[in-house]
Amino acid sequence: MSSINCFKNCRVIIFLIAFLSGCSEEVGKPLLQVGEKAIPFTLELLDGKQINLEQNAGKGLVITFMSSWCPCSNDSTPLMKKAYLEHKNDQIVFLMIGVQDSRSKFEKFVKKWDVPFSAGYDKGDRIAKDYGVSSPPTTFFIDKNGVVKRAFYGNIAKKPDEFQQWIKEIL
Amino acid sequence: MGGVSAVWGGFSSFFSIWQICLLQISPFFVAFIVGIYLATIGNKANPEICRWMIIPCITYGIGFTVFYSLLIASGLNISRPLIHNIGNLRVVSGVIILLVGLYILLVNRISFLGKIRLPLLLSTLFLLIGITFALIYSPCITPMLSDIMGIASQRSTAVEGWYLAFCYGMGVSIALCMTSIALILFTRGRKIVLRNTSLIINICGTILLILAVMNVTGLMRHYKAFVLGFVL
Repeated sequence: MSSINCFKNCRVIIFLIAFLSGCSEEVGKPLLQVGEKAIPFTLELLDGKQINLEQNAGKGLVITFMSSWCPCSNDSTPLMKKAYLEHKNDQIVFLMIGVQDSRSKFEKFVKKWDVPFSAGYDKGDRIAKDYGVSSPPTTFFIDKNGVVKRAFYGNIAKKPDEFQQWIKEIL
Repeated sequence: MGGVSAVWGGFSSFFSIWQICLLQISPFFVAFIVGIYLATIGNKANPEICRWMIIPCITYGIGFTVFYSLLIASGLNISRPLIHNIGNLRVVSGVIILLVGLYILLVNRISFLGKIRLPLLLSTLFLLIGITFALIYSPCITPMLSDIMGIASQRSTAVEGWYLAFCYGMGVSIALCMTSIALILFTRGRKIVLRNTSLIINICGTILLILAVMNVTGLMRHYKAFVLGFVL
């Protein structure tokens, strides 16, 4: 009896491992890497408008993936706002994308922090998957040519000087 | 940063403010380990805690750490299908957790299940729970994890980053298992537990069923948003 059960358990594990180890059509899809072109996407903003990479061609882009429940997202947002206000007349776009969150909670989060730049909810975390985002907050710095210059994982408020430097790199 | 400091980073994060984020999995793991202990070995006269719990906890640690580190190391080729399919994998995880929850609820009610209480079965269940918890968990990015993810996301340093993420995940697993075993040792044999064993087993099994349903239906993101948002 025990050997039969052992065999059954092993079969399940082997199936799971086979599935996870790449027996999927998704394998061919690229994950975003620093130094590569940013992966195009279209995002519906909270105000109902749409944004995509093409319409911001020729501008630097700071994309930050955040969740309302994440302490680091809450910590990072004031610095993002400050940077936006400092650079709002420059050729740079800030975009906040809500991931791993409920839409209503993310909307409240944006309202709570009075986020002054574009923000949208990534339904199904589709953009996050393409960008390889497994946890919020994750921030990408994309230059005028659409090339990812930097990726930062975590609380950007802990690196204010580097943050300013990375923005200058994409201006 | 070395492997030892990464293990310590993961371990210490469990006992810090970052525990808030671990609320995604820690209450469910406690429910799992307490439920499985009481349902399978808690009623033995002289349970060999090392044989019955330590080895399964190691298999849990292996399952959790391997998949946790692969999800962190987005620069690795093997991580791509994991990250791209994370939604589907969370549904699969929910189904596995559902089966484990049912096992806890039914093991003492169905004689067939009662006959297969083996250390190997427990180790397998712990391994599966380790894998599923790694898949459903969205870690908060501690300062150390931030550095590790920076290394692990680049193809040129992905293997090094994966190793550090593995060590970090191992630290988290050790802390989680230690705490759960300490809880079992503390409560073992207490009259209130002995009097309410069936009730505790039912509660633990039900908590796992709730976790399973949340993952299958996609409600887990609402749990994160509302429960963790409430704590914050």
